[in-house]
Amino acid sequence: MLALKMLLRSWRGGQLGLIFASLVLAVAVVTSVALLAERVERALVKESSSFLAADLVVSSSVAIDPTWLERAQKMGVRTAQKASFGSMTFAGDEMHLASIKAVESSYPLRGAVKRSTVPFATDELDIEAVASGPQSGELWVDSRLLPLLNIELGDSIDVGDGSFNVSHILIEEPDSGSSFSAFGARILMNWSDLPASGVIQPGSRVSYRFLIAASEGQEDNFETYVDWLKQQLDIHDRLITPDEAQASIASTMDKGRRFLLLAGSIGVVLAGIALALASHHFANGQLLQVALFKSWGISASRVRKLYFQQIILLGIAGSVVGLLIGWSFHQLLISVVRDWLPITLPAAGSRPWITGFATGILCLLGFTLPALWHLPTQSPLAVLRRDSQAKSLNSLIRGSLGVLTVARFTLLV
Amino acid sequence: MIEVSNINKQVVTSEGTLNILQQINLSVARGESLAIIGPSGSGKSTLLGILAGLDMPSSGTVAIDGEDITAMDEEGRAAVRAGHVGFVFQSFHLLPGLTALENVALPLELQGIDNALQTARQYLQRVGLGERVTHYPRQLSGGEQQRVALARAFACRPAILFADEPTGNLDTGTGEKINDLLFDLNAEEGTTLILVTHEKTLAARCGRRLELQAGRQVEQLAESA
Ligand SMILES: Nc1ncnc2c1ncn2[C@@H]1O[C@H](COP(=O)(O)OP(=O)(O)OP(=O)(O)O)[C@@H](O)[C@H]1O
Ligand SMILES: [Mg+2]
Repeated sequence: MLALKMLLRSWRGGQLGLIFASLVLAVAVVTSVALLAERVERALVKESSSFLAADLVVSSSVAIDPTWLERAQKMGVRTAQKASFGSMTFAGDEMHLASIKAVESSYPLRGAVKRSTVPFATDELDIEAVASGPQSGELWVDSRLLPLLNIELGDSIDVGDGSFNVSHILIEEPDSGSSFSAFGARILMNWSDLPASGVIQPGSRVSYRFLIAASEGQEDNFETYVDWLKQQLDIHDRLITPDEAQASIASTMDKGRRFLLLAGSIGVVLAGIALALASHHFANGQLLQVALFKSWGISASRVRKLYFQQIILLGIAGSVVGLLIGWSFHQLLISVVRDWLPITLPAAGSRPWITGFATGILCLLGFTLPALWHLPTQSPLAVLRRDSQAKSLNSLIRGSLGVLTVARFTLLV
Repeated sequence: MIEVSNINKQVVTSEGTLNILQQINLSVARGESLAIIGPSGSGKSTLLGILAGLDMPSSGTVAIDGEDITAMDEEGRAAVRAGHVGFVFQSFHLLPGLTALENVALPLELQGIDNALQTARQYLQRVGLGERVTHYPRQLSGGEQQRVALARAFACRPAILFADEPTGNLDTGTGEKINDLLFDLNAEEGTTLILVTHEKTLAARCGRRLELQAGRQVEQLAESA
């Protein structure tokens, strides 16, 4: 195939390096962003039901009223209390301000806690889903706490006045979405250890959660209880329904995704400008060749076809490489932000790949094709002139137009 | 083979209409060689371009093998050129990104000839560059580059070879060698040769000469002594 031969020769001459690199960059940026966005979206759909770890939650800035618990018990409504706060943790000379959650043994009412005995476990085989949190005296901690405090599983660390055994790695709690903004390493501890540790003092900033769920077959009681509970709420309390929980996660995710898309679009536009300039340069380098082709009797339509084929071949090669790099880059991004992600991300479908590939082809059509557009109309008479530079300003204008159109297109998408 | 009658070429510039060629008549038979001579700016390159079908006269006709190419559109003229004409230029016009071999093979590849590289290699050997096939134009001297260009032109076995000052950029000694090669190949291949030149000696080697002065034919096609 002659177009392929021409393309390989141009590649060897180094005239395509910049075009190829810009193309790969654009595809890689879009692919990585699309992969990330799609996986987050899928995670949202998949995990929405257990975001609360309960059927309903009351969030409060003060401790839960004991009468709520008594009444729930009487009516056969399952409950679990949770307190979230920041606290210093110590091991030897090391310390770290951790995000601690203390949960009752009944927690979680819905969903499961994922734990592991392998730090930084990503392999599903190393991860175990269990129906309750840590026993009294135990802590389940974020992997990154181990290096931060320079400890290993089984070691003891101090929290407040208490000393605890770090028994497991905490992979994920069902309602971890609500701790998305927490910066300290996450620690899960048992509610019954709270008094002895003395971590909660009057005036500590603690966020309490009262989790409730219907017992099997007692849904009517649950409804009645919820109606009663709603009457009891005062200014400190807020009722969170599953919809709401999902919405707050979704909005956080959406902000993240929009940021990624914006960053991605800027990347694509920059790559596009580089692509347009590189294409313009490439086109100028082809003027003599085209003039020769024309003088040898090659028709304009054949010239157009030869260059179009080259663009498509280049587009396919660049897009494939871009997809691979984009995939690696999104893996890297995920491994960097893993600790802040409230959920494990399911695998992506085919859509991000298609988006990435289409970006490559569209970029070439939008940025490179305009630069090459005038080539077939190059006059064969140019061979009789001593220099064959012509029409360069014209193609620069066309090139810039291409940049603008595609830039607008990507920003809209 | 080429029949030119009454061609004129005018271009409109900001200073008015410029007559580049006026009332040119000539005919060239198959296998003949014609030198177009004249001072700089007299219209030699313009005439060559028209004869080759690269350019259109303002009036008059050019017929190649009985076909009036001035009645054709650009694509039609391209089709007449395809595989029939070869070119050699003053500034060689080799593609810098291709090796000598690839430069020679390119027009053959465009014609879809199977053993393009093999044929190209043979022609490079014929111009004495069999050892330089993998070299790029920048690695070759001017004379060597023009030999590659000759190989490229002849490898297509054109019926007509157009040359615009083929030795204009070369020193006299090198130019002489290129001229020898040009006429040798021309004799072997039986090509019709139309060349533009400043050089009296080169013009003298052609079967006929056409002298232009300010776009007019000053000397009728004199037979060579
Ligand atoms: N498109 C054009 N517009 C304006 N003037 C032109 C155009 N093409 C050619 N000319 C003029 O026509 C005249 C003849 O040009 P041409 O290139 O044919 O001369 P030439 O005999 O080949 O000269 P040289 O020996 O320098 O190559 C020149 O004065 C040139 O400036
Ligand atoms: Mg000239």
